[in-house]
Amino acid sequence: MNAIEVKNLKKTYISGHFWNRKRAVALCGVDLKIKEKEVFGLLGLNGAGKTTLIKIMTGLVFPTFGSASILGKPAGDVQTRKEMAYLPEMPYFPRYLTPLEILDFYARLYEVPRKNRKEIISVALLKVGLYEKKNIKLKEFSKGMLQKVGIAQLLLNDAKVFFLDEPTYGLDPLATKQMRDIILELKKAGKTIFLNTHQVSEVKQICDRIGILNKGRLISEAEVKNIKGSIESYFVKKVADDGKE
Amino acid sequence: MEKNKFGKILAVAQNVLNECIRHKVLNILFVFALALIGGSLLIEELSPGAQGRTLINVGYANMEIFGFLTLMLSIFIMTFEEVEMRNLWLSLTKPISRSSYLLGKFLGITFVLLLTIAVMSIIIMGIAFFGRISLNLNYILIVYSMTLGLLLTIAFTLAFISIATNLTTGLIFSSFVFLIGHLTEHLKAIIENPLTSEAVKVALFIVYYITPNFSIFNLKDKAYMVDGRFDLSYILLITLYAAVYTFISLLIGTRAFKKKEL
Repeated sequence: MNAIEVKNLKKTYISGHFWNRKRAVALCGVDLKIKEKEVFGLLGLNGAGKTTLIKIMTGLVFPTFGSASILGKPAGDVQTRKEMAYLPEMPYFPRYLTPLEILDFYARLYEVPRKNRKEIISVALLKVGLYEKKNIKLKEFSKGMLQKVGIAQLLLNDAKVFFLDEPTYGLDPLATKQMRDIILELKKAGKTIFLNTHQVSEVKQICDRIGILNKGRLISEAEVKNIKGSIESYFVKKVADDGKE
Repeated sequence: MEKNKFGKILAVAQNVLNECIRHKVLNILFVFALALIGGSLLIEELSPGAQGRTLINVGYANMEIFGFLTLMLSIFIMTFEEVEMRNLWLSLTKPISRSSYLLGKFLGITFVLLLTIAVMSIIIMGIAFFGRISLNLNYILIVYSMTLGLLLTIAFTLAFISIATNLTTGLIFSSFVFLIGHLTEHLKAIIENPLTSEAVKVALFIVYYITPNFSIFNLKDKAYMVDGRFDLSYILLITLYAAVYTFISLLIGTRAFKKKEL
């Protein structure tokens, strides 16, 4: 079974009032299949539609046409969300709560039983190196530390599918390595990972397969091991070739 | 089917309460206490004879205004952080339906409001006690009816925010409805005035029937008139009125929120 399946997905954003409607096409007919236990990296320039694709799969926005499913269930469904975890680009949290409080809140939404909650949260905080800071208000956290809280919330529900949108954004080199290690650990544990990134260097070390999204279209898919030369040059070539067409 | 729906609604509600307390929303109570103590001293100077009734009226009128400010501030803070700061992205990608989330938010702001009203009531009772002003049990009904009106305000504000494209528009619109809702008796008078044009009459007629009538929740002016006794059937009627309006507002709010793209 495919862990993620996207069929002819189209998304057009409509803004403005009815007398001055503006349309922006974000996705135009994306088809994609990601196998279970696969780590898939989606590459694309800014504005290519990567975040829109992830937002449709997590139920934050709705497709204009087409469908997306996760583990055979409709994307965005409440039951589907039980088996997935999502890290947005630059996650924000209520500034006056502590990591312990916000993770407890998320754990409750994930229906983590009360007796296990404390332990699961502690393990997640230890993993990202924030255990000692669990009672400090989030308003005092740096961008990198907030990203770590974002990573910790990924680990609360033993998800099967992970959606990571620019997971190393704002992290220092040490934290980037920590993040990479966590992703590799998840990969080792047999999780399916969908990674949105424009950090090409990340992809080689983590992903099994990549896709390139350009102007709302998936222009290329390839196994990382089959790519000759650097991924960066492969990416640049594909985007440039697409621009010529 | 969403499992453990009530548990999740309660989790959201507790989170809202927690956040509002941390944001020092309840500091508004200090302003209330200062306004009331200052007012009571002024009233004592100006009208020594009518001090009791005037103080209570001022206190309860302030209570409604400060209750309204508290709920608007709570909704503003919560929604600003959720939408503008994108906190909502993480919450709504967890296994909770949008309707449960909105209901949790309603319940959470209700908790904040009830806490505020409880503290304000204690302040009023304290001032009455030290000023040797007698308060009978009917004041509980005054506070109760006022709370009904404010609960209804929470529900339609959440509905407007769910429908509106931005937070400011939603808050301005609901403040406008709150204001109009207090003037429905005047609207009726304008509609019945033969000098009013037909077009204005139709427009006001629609506003009159759509806008909740907040004057029915105002029992404080009647506290002395009915010799401290209220008709219980009237209390039941306004409870039902508030429940129906709240239910409809929440229904519209959840429908709109389910379709909202983030």
